[in-house]
Amino acid sequence: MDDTTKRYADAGETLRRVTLPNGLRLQIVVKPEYHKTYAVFTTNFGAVDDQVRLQADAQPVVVPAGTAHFLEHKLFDKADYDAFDLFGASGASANAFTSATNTNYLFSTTRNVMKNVEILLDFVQDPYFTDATVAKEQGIIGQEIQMYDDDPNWQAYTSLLADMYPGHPLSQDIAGTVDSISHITPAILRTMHQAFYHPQNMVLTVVGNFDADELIRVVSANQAGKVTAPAPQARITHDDYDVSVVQPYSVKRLDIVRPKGYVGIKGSAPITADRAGLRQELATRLFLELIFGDSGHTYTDWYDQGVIDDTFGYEFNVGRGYNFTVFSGDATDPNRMTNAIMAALRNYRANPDVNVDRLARIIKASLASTLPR
Amino acid sequence: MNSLENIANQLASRAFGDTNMFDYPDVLAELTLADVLAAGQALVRDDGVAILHLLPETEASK
Amino acid sequence: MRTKITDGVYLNVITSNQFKTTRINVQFLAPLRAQQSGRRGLLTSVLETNSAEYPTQDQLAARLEEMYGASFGFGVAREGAVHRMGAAISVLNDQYTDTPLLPAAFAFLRSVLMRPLMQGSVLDPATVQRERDNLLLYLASLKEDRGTQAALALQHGYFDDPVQAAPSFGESADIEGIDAQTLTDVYHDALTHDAIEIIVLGPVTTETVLPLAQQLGFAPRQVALSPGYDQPVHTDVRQFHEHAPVQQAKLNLGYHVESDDCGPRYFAAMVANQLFGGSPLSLLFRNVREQASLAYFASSSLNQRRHFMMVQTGIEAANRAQTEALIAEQLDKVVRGDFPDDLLQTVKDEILNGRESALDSQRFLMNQALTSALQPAAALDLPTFTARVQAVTKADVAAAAATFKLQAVYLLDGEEQ
Repeated sequence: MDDTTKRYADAGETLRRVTLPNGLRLQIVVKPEYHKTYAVFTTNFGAVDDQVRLQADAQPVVVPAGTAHFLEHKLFDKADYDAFDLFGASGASANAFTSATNTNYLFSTTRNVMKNVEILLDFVQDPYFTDATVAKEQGIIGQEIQMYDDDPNWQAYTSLLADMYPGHPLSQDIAGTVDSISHITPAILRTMHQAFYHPQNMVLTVVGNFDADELIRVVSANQAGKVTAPAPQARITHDDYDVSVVQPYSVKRLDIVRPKGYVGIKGSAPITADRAGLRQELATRLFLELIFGDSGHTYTDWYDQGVIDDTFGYEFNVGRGYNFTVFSGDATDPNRMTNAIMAALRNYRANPDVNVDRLARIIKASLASTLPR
Repeated sequence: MNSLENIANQLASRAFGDTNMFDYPDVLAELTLADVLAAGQALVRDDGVAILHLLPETEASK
Repeated sequence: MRTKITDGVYLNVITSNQFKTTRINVQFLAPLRAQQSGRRGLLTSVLETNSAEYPTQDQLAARLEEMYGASFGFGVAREGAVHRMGAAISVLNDQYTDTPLLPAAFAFLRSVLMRPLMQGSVLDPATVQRERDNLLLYLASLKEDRGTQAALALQHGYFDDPVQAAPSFGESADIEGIDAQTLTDVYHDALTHDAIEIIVLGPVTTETVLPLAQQLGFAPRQVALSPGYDQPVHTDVRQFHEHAPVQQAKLNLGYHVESDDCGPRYFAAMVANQLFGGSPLSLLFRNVREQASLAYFASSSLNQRRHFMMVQTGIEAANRAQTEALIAEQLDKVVRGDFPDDLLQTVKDEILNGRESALDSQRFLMNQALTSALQPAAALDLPTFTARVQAVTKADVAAAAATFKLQAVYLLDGEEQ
């Protein structure tokens, strides 16, 4: 069993990492001055993972859009218990969420930490799917999809992703569509659970007020008592850095009051998951801040001229197989706004806000916002 | 966001790579203007750009 | 520890070594009045944008960056019959910086609160106009979030008092056409007449903070605040129906709730709400969402200062009648005590877990200081709070739920065909 502890002096935190014999990894941060503990059990499987190869030479099986999210909902329901009830009885509050590349199951509690950790491990690793429970969930998730369909920002963001990543799972809503989820069956859920909810593909992160050695003992014993299936098939990734397929312009009309503008820039090359990649990721965020941050003239001039308002924002998103930048905001004249964004990007070399002193100040400021707290 | 959630969720989101959020301060401290401009150059292209305008419905489009 | 600086101006210091930042909050408290919600909201937008010392947004933002990325903003809220607006700043503690930031943080607050950007004797007209116009656009766009639209509409229909019926951030009519002079009057009124509560949370003591707080320069004032709002129970249930091109219909219900000032009925109502619809283990969540698949969300929220509870659901419009019936059935179960004893204990544990966990939240700790100042009876330490929650019996819960009287129903659904 691998067990390493590293002190990060600048961040003021200590991280202990453990790898169990079955491949499950633990990330542990003990904070004795806090009252509660927060634990999240993560699998490296999300909305972009819509294919699996069941045998080495077999054709890949493609699953309907929304499968990962559906699976997340369904894991709480068992034959003779509901995981929410178990957490409740142990004084914890639980939740879950699915992203493009991960699915997360979590709880927060001030008592019975170890008992709740075991509940978490057990309910996620022990699947139970029937036609009746699947049908019920189709109703609930159908409601969830309709709720997001009514959100104009969400609709626009999804459209923008579809314009950048046509035919790629990113162009689909994480929850899928009412039609796509109608094709999800218990067999599909079981297949994906077996392929991706393998200890080697999972990490348990626990932060708060608890005893680390006790946690490791409890998790080790819990996992040792389980039969681990063979390692899953190699993942089929959907790397997409093809900029030639991007739809350069589209217009959408919805029942809104305030027009909105969006600019998406598709990443043309991967960013690696190592320190070099982190440097590039953070350098890209700093670049965007230099040009578009609110301590620069660009933002203030645009705001004063009514090109943007304080809904203006931007983000650089890096994930397994993709990366992209999105600018968004309300604008009386969205065309003026998106033209201004493109001009600012093209002219960055001549921008007086791009200088060593401002960069130093922004780095100093981002140290504070990135400080774990 | 409460800090324990923030730390745990960020650690979880990077759990499958080789770096984590606690690396940010010293990685940031290493970055120079040249690094930032190089990142900008990699980002700024004429292709790969998608623009979307979201507009209110007009009587004609309803 | 609460210390009087002068009449109507208090400093509340919470000493804690738990966090990496120190937070300062300057709260302005006034009776809720017609028109003032929107105007005070606009005032906060103006004060947040610039000051005499930092006359442009980028200069203000640059100053915060220099302070090691201090975060700063204004907020507005309603507490029963009190309107509060607050300026908040958060700075890193000394061990993470080269220079102590607390004096600079107070100096920054003094700059934005006491020396706003003026033209002569009025707030800068260009800033006022721009912020007014942006705020009007924002208010008009609220209905793009259908959940917000439905929640505001239900409250608008439920409350008899127009000021309570309006959102805490006001309405367009409050600020349409407002000029710099009028807004300057609002500013002076707040500065001279509002109750001021300065709250500081961090590794600090009253001794170190008091001189800094005094330098903010608030003059003495007399204020009378009554924290609660109540209205009579009506025999009829008001019905509201609006249409919009939505896929998911929103069905919201408003109830009058009896309560006392943090006495036993307060805790009974808290537990009753949690059991009825306040938690994922509640009857609404369990039976309306999970069993019947009628809704993606079905929950209740309680505001005892306003004697008001709201149920919010997102449903298929065709299931409206069935959903209303199922909601009524869940409330009836609580009134009849028709729920398992272990569910009662579970929701109590949930409340207590939440309260204990809140000790890790800077926002909660600072709000506690404010509650303590406004309503001393309401600010309970953890052992007392725990005892009061644990003391609630099934009969107490049933009695509390029996006072939940439906007063208003609002439905937002698709366009009429």
